[in-house]
Amino acid sequence: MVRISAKINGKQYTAEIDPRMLLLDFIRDHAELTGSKRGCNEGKCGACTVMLDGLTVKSCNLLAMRAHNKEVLTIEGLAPDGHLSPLQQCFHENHSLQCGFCTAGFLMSAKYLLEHNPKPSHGEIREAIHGNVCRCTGYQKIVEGIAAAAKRLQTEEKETQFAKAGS
Amino acid sequence: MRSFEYFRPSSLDEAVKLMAKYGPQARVLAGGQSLLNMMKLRIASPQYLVDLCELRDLTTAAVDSGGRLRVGAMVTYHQMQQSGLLNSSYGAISDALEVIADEQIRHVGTLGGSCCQADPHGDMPNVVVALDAEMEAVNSKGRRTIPARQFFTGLLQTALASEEILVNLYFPKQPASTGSAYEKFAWRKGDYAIISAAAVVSIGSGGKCERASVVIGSAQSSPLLLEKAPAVLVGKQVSAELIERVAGAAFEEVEPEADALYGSSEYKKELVRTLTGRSLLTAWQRAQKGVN
Repeated sequence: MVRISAKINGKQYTAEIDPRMLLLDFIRDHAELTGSKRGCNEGKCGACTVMLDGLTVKSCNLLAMRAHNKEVLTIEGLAPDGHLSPLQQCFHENHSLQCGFCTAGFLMSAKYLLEHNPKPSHGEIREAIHGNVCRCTGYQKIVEGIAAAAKRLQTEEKETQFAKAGS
Repeated sequence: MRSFEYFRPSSLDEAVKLMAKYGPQARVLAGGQSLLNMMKLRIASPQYLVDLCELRDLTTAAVDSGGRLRVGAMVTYHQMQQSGLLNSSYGAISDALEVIADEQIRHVGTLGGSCCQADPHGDMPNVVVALDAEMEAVNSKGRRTIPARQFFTGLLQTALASEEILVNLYFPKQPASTGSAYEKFAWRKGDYAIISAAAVVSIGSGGKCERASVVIGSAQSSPLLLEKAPAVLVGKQVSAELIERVAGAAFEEVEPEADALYGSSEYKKELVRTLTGRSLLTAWQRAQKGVN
């Protein structure tokens, strides 16, 4: 057994675990945050995507110990107060999900993209979600959802700036 | 996954001691993007896992005083992409970074890890062989340097002894007007290559080729450094027509292994021709820019 201490969505979790435990299992079984999904369990499908110290990773292909003394952000951390984030709202409005199993992973990849490239082209969006597989939508609606979110976040930022300048 | 004892050394010394103690029963964990999958399938079942994630020295990359590019074995693909160190002579590295797996995996996977994995369908082994890199390894007795061209010894096999740890990769300073490129063919971007080619071209004043190397990946169990094909180019005025002849020579030289899934040897030979041509053409164009 090894001791792990990791922050998930701002909350500290400490436990004695089998070193074999994957980060995904630590998140789902220990922290009981079941939004991150196990799809392929071999780092291909991206349904388990979370952020580790700000970088997207596939939590099924990482030992939980790799999150020791680090910060994890899961899908639950995107809407901590129960209100959907603008990105999630745009997925909802643009029908960017059908069965929803892959959605948590797509949202994490999309969040990472928009943090680093606020005005992505459709090509750049497709590149950014390359590590995520969706068997329902055919991807087009996901691309549209992310493009809409980029636009909305830009507008919100402008409004904030305007409000600041006005005050 | 079979159970193992997990170690997380905080210094290289400590890691070296652990590897000396546990030797063949131990595996080093770098990014783990291949090793963990092998452990899940029980293809690999190390009794001891030595995780190098705390060794910060191995996560740095820089050009040293001699002009060599030193890349720590734990530098991730993502860190490499962000480093700003990859000029046109290292174009093959940049190209490979674009086509390795996907973003999530590039955030974790490491240059050193992919070389030690020595997957015949991997990307980085071909690039380090083409650029004539040197691999620096340590064990309890000291350090040694292994030329990349002698590092890959077979399917998932390297020249490293079981207790050795790869710590650095050194890419030699390239002559002025050198360009390199990497091309791969796969069904989907980011998949393992069916065939890949890495090329390096140096041109002198007047546009004559002074040096050329071509490495074919996925054709055999380790990166294949071509002997005959690049000789067609060296000493001559480079042109698109001449590169086409080199590609033809590569087609003649390489006998790829057939496999049931990805195709016959004949099919892969055509890929060798096409990708050799493409990678040489890009390497030549980059060399002409003369940016080094």
